Amino acid sequence: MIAQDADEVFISIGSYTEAYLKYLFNPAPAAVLPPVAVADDVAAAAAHMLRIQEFSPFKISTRDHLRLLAHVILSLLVKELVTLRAGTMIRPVWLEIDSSEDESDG
Amino acid sequence: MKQAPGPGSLGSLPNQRKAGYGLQRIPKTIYEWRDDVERYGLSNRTLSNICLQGALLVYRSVLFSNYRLSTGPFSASNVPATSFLTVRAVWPGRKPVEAALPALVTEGALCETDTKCAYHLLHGGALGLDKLEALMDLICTQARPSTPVRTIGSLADQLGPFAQLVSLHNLLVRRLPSLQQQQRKDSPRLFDAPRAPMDRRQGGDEGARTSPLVDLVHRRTDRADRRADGKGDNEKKLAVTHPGRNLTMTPSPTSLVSDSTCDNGDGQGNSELLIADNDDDGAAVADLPLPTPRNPTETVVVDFLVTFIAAIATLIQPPTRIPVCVADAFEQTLQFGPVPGTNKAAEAFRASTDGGIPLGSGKSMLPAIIFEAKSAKRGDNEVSVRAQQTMEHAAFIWEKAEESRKNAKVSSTSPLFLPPVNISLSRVRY
Repeated sequence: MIAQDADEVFISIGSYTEAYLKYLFNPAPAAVLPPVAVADDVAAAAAHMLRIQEFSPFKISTRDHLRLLAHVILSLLVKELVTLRAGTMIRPVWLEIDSSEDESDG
Repeated sequence: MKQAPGPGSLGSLPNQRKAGYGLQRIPKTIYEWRDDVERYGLSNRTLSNICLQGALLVYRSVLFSNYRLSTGPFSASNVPATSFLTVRAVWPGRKPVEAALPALVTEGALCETDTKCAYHLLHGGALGLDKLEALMDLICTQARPSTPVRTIGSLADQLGPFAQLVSLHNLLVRRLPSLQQQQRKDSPRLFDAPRAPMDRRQGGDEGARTSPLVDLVHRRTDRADRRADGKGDNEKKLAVTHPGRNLTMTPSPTSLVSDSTCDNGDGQGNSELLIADNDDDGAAVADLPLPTPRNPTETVVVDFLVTFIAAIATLIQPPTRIPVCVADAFEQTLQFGPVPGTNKAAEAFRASTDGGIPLGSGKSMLPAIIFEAKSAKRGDNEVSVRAQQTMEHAAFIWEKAEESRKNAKVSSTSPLFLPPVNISLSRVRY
């Protein structure tokens, strides 16, 4: 999610597991408090939770922040476009970087 | 379910309650969340009680806060504390903006090549992205070192698709406070934000409000409209256009929504899972409160975000009749529930997003990234804003999972929910 409050932008990423989806969709509704949380098993309980990590604030009047926001958005667009017909303009750059990374790995 | 009236009860004015009312904090850890669950007496409740707030909770809330709780359905913008806690969400501490890209790579949402390619394009000024620097020269406080602002040519010459952002930035930074004052003085809601257009060529010109498809997009829930649709021309195909997406659907007589991809082989769509075909249950869903539409100042905010993202997207793709991945400002209502295994379809809530980016090949009705706009800085409202966003995350996850399940053609009679095929069995994200 990208949220903007006046002149500040917030990016939040929601992470969850299959266990959380089961909590939502199980035909026999589960207890709000998972047994592992009662048992103080935090690591196991984390799998049953929705974790929302926020990165912020990107201030739109601050050059470094706006450039960084553009970098995040452009990266997401590159990821999607590079495999599509609409990605013909960026694909050569992507492939060049990808091949150079392969060479450096090799 | 009726709302409990009472003198001064905020429950009678659901749209005037803040999200997370009665909530003292947003839990950062599982320990904090567990403590809050126990404090609110939710240990023995289940997800099916998401809309239920009994007398005990009313009593408790009066004791521990100045708020009074009511019963009944809600929307994300006025989610009660108990319902917020029921979706099991934690917000670890906020991270700095510099950590966003590495985190997206770590989470698997991006690969290194994507970020390097974007860096190369941005810092090389390729494909007209140098105009972003020109924009920052005008609206940012930090000046570009040793580079004077260019004054030759028009604003559009210098900034290209970013040109309108100068005006929007001016509105946001300089005029927004006075706009907000004016709005408070005149009316809390001057007018509604724009809604997604219907494709009139496909027979949608009878008004967006009466189309089952628009109910899918916006989930506008006039019961009378819905009944009229159900008895109408079920074979008539309606279409809605959305940037990057174009979907044609056939309404089903037994469900509010249905499409060709939902057919599980026996002629019955899976969408009955989402919207119960029992009339009483359907009525309960239809009675869910709609989130409040955004106001004019919020529209200015979302306009900035959409223009900024759309400008980048249009710079990096060739001319085409249907550009993809272009951000839009369509308000979209997402629905969480009804919760499986319950007798009441009213165990659900709705959340409204302010727009989004439809990524991918455009087959999905849902954007890959959703927007939320607020006209004011968070300040003391952080608990309320995060509570609302939590419910939007949850509703988005619900809708995504439902969509994946339909696409995977999982049987609606499956005794246990099967995870969508495109979701990793380890950690998933969107």
